[in-house]
Amino acid sequence: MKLSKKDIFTRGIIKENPVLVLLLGLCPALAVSTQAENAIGLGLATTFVLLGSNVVISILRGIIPGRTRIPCYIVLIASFTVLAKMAIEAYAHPLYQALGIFLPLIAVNCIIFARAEMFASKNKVIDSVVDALGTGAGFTLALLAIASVREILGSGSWFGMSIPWLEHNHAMIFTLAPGGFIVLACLLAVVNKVSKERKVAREFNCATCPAAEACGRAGEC
Amino acid sequence: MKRTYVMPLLVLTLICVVVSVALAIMHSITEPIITEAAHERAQIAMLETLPDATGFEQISAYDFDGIPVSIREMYRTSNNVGYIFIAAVRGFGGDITVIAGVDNDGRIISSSTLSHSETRGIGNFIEEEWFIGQFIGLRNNFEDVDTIAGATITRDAFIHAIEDVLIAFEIVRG
Repeated sequence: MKLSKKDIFTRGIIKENPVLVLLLGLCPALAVSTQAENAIGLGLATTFVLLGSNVVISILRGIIPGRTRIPCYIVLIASFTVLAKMAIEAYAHPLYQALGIFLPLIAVNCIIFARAEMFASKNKVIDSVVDALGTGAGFTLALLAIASVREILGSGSWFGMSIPWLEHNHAMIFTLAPGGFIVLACLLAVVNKVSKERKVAREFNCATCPAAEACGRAGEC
Repeated sequence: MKRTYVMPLLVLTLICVVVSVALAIMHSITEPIITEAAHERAQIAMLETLPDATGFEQISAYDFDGIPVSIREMYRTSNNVGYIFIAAVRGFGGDITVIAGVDNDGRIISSSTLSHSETRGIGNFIEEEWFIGQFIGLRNNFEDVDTIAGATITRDAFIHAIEDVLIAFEIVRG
């Protein structure tokens, strides 16, 4: 089945949204989503690393041998992460401080690894670029959604602009870890309710699995 | 034989070499910017702490005995108006880094929190003027500093940093 560019792009945002559907990268998603601004920052940094690793891995897909592909991917992904880290530290220091440990941890973000293994290593460069942009946009939007709810309810502001009334009546729990889990769970519930396909997924088999297409053993077990 | 063992090694080695060169180039571009920005931020923070100072000279903790381990950096001022100390103590959510200026009589001129990871909304009063302002002019006896319900560890950590600064001051002044 050949997907059009548009399908590849929107799939990363909606049908295979890394956070809200595939439940990947939840740790940074919960940790950094206390403020909308940080969410955008981490989303863009992750998209940059995703784009870099997808492009290079796609270009090298004929050269990287199957046996050593994992170390090759790790080296490439880690390097792009360090590049992004150095650039952000030099040119956007407040963002660097806000992201803290989660910036270098992009190197072990499973979303990037998943795209390298599932998509970039099997597809053309242009398709991989589109896939990276789609998945990156999906990650950023999911983060922004969680962060917006948490910042508005928890800090009474949005992108640093204070909201009347809420400013003095915010519920601090939303800025803390439990609030993150609550917001994420509510968003997941909404996404599951809205997307009709996911109702079928209750059966849990290869036909309903979003990763089936890339899984080497789909239908075998 | 050749394909199964030599190729993977060769490819991985090549990738590592290319990537190292790219990182080295990027490092050489960003390193000066990062160092200079950090230096500038430190200068601004020190000038805010001791506005009368004309310049700062770093003092090494190795030249003295008994400097508390929390003291990270120490500076004397060129025009001898006091000393600057940067201390890092353990708070509730991680290290709290505090900068404090001490005059020649051992009184706190001003102090502020450079970085911390205390709980937002509970522990971030250590950034606020009403809290750090209480230390101005003090040289001991911190019992009158407001106790903060629900944030005792954060408050005590900040006081601990100030106490360490004053211990260091006594040692450095001799």
